[in-house]
Amino acid sequence: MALQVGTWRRGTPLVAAPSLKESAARTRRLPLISLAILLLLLVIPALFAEWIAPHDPLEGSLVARLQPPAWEAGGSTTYLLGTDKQGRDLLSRIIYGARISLQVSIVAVVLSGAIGTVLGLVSGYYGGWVDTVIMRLVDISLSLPLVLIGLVLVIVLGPGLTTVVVVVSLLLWSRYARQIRGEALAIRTQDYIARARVAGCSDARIIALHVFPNVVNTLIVLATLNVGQVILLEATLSFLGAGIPRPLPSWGVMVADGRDHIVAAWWIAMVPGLAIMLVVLAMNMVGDWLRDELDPRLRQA
Amino acid sequence: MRYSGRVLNSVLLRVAILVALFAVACAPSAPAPPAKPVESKPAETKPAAQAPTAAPAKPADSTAAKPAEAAKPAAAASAAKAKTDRLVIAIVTPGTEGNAPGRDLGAPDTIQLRPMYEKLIGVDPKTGGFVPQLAESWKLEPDGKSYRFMLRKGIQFHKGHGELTAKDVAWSWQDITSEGSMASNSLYFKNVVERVEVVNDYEIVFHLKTAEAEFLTNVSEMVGGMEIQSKAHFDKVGKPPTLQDEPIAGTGAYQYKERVQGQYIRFEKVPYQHWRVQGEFPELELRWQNEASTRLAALLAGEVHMTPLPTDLLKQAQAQNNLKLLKGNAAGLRVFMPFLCCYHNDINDKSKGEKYAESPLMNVKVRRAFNQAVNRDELNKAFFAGKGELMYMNTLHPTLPGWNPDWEKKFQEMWGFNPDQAKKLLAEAGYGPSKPLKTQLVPLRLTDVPESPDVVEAIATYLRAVGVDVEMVNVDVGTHNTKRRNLGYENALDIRSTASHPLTGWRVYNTSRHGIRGGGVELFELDDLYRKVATTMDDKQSADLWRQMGDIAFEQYPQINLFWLPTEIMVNTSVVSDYTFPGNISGSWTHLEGIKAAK
Amino acid sequence: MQRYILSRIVQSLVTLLGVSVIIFSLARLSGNPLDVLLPAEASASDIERTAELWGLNKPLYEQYWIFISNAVQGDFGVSLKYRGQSAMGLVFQRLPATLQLAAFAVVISVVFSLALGVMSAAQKDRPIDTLGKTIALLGQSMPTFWLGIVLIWIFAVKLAWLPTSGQGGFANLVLPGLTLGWFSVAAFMRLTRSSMLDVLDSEYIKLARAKGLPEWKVLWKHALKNAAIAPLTFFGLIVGFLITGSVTVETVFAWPGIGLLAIEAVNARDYQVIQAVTLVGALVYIVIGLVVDVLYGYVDPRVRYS
Repeated sequence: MALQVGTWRRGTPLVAAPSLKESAARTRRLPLISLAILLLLLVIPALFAEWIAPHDPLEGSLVARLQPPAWEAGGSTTYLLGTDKQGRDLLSRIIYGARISLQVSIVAVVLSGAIGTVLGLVSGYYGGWVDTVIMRLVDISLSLPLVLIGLVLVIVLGPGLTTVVVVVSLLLWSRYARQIRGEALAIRTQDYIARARVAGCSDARIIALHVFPNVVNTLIVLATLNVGQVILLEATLSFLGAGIPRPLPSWGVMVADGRDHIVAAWWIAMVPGLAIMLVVLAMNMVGDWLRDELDPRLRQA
Repeated sequence: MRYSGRVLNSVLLRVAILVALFAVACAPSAPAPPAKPVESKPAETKPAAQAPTAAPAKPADSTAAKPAEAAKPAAAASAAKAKTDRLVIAIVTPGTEGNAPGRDLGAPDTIQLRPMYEKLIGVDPKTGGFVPQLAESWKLEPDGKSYRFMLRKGIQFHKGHGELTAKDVAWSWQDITSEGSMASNSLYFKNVVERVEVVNDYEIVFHLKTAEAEFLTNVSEMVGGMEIQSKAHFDKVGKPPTLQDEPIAGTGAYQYKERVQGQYIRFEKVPYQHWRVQGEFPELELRWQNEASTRLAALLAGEVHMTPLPTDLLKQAQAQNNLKLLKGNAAGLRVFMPFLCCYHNDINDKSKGEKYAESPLMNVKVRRAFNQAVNRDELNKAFFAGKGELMYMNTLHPTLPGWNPDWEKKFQEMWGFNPDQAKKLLAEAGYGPSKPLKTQLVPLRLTDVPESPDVVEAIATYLRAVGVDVEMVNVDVGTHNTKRRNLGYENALDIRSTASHPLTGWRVYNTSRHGIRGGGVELFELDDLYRKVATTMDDKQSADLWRQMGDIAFEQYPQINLFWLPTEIMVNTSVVSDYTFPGNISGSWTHLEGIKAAK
Repeated sequence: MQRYILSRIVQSLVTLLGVSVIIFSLARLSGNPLDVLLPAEASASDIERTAELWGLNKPLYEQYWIFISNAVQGDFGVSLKYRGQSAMGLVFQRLPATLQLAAFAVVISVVFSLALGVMSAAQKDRPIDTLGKTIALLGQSMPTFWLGIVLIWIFAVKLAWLPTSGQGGFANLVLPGLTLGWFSVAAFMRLTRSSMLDVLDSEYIKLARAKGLPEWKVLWKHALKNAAIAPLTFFGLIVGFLITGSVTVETVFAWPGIGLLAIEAVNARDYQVIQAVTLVGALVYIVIGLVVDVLYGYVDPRVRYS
């Protein structure tokens, strides 16, 4: 969750090269467990789904429906994590679901990040009425109740993977814009910007070459933290019936499918729910670490 | 930073105190665990065990003016009393909430006001057939298009609004045909009834424009809308009731108590001897809970005493030994998947052709292939625990007139599961790897059949297995209905469930000339025959006509037939001893006033 | 200062207007309510006729003008799903339930995040710090609806300590409040922690310690008071979020608040109610933001001149 703290402080233009001891200390603090989780649960399944998944995630066999995981009574090694109510293998669906989660989150984050950064930079750099207009747009976007608008948008645009991505991006761009604008405002008053303007550089050039590189760190941190938000938002929309359409195996849809069976067939909802939780947790931890690393200003030490 | 252990202790101490406070505050104040469903106040006497006069009809408490409070002191004198003061039935939220049955509520939503109203003709909860209710008798007049109803005498409206007379019936008809009414059969009554004649206080005649076989069904308990309301009450209030006002008084065994929109509606037993049924619970509550797992949890915890559940959850419920599944007595719901494809360009002129002439579903062989691709037994076992009854003919049942036993005999050969035959038919129709057959499936979530999206997904698998390329169209109900009504689907199937009378079923799903289109395959022959049946009053003749319609439908495959599903509800036997209901009425849970309490 | 307040108010009004335009167009674009509310057996002409009756056939800009001009007088039209009831009336009827839930969730999250934040700051980088951060992060990583369902089954069915759903006494408030509140614990806690750390490093704290004040007084009386300023901003956002973000929790727990009202309205295409709920939610959010900004303006003069 992006922290919209009202204070902004002047940034340090240069970072001194770290000493060997400092580098070593930093590497030790790498969130290894989180990275491992992400690799195992998100990246590898997403990239190698066809090779890893034991079954087809979309075709099920009704005879095999609602089978428990292999370690429970009645389970078998054919379906390691059990089957859902259509008789589809849960493990395969989780693996392919990772791909969908990754696809949706990357595209949505890039899209909302792009929109938010451009608007934030423009707003912060130019100031004046441009700033006012864009900030009003940000305010409006922030005041709209997320889930509600998401639902209505999906109804308007029709269901589908693209729709969900577009909807999520439209809902989240403002989180970037505000933060980036703050940074751009601070940077704008720096000496080197004034010098560049005097030297005759165009505004676009200045923004791209001088302002943007200084906000990249914030952007990266925000983006990482946002991935978790995107996954959760998509899962919520799916739960409410307005997310990734069936029979695609998005984790959110799987939890929604399993909610009626939470007692008798707990694995249908629990396993994808757990996957969502672990991935988002890991993402947040990595994001925290990145923030500590890249952005001394936002560091909490 | 090094802080002493004392600091840490103090912080922890604070947190611990807060947590402790919360734990104390969180001590359960709420409902009793499942084994003890008694909700009433502790000072209750429970004479149930001792009272020898256990006859449930003993009306000793009917003399008091205030129903619930008076019943308690009278309890010792009266017959065995229900263990719970308020019977709570949890069901899915109605689509619309309103207080005017003739204006605000479509067919399935009328359930929210049902306990307080009665109709001219009732439905027998055991047989599903007509029985006299507010009308003692009725007959078709010699002209073949008027019905004379003789009303029962001495029936009182709630809360002192007087006796039922023909004027109230006439007014109720006026109400349902008023401009902008949302009642399902509002237009039907408007189109079909020419005028209503009040002969005297207890005699009324409906003059119809032509003979109408469906008329009696529409004024009966089978369909909501013609609830008999008190004209006197309406005159006093002066305007139709909104959700904040009280509904117009009815004649039912329960009267309106209160409601909170979005949450529940409550009824209380009428404080006098009802002419027909004595409710066994002082209060009745219909509670809206959309989430099946929440309803199950509430049932298990004893917060709710009756609730319908999807098949998959029944096992958990039945594992608790005071919960039992009760079934409706009539055939139940029909579940089927109509083909959305085949509409006439001109509903009166065959030569003008079909709207989507190129659609693959226009070809009978394709429609037959789809039917033969589906493994109904497997579906039945998987999603309905085998309770579904195979549907040989949509809308007609072996127990109804017009049944042709050939349909059952030939079903396996013509409609039954045979994927090889299905592939062969598709090839004959010209489809194969070089010309793949594409189609769309709409996995609607039906209120009465929560398993419906899963059924559609499973059918998609079957169709794919015979080489059909299936696209799932995941729109919501509103968008889908718009498109369907505007005949926007060229090559699609959705899923439907209905408990409607056969005549209504044919009209809605297979005809085009009666105001409703977009329900399914339009067949000219069926349209012609329907008109005949609708105006035939002779039972033998209509049976014959129905058989003819069935024969055509059997050859033309207007939908994928699935099942007749029994209507079932989970009941807490510590509170409810019996509930008899037909289960084939829209909204399902009718005859609530007859629920018997456990003693 | 006056100018600052005035400009913020004008900004808020503009935002509100923008929200109204967006929600109006979206709601209208989402489809025809009659297709949802009228039964499946209704024909296309039935729908036409009813649409005429309810004024749904007028051109959009005319409908918007009617909507806005009535809205400023407090009239948000009449609900289509709850026949005869005014949309605003519905919102006000259900708002207290959401406020109650949000308030309880806020209390829970404030208590837990303060406790966790202070503890983590006190034991920075030690195991307790990591544990605290993890517990908080867990709340932010779990899908709310999943957490709610799991809690119901553990505490209401298996253990039967608490009721399963619906509004009632204090016991009914616990599970939904916990589900809703845990989400915000993380961010709030981190903010508390970072402010605490900043403050603990400052001069006057060092002075207080040098003076010999006991540690707990330093932590809770002096440090926390000053550290609470930054979380103040966030507090506003949290409250806003809780009110508008309660849809999932209210759905799972059948809590009769405006979240549940909103989702039912969306499914039923009940325009007037969708608009009313969104505008009230936005209003609450904006007002809280305004109040927080003004308070901030008093505290930090730099903000006033940005």
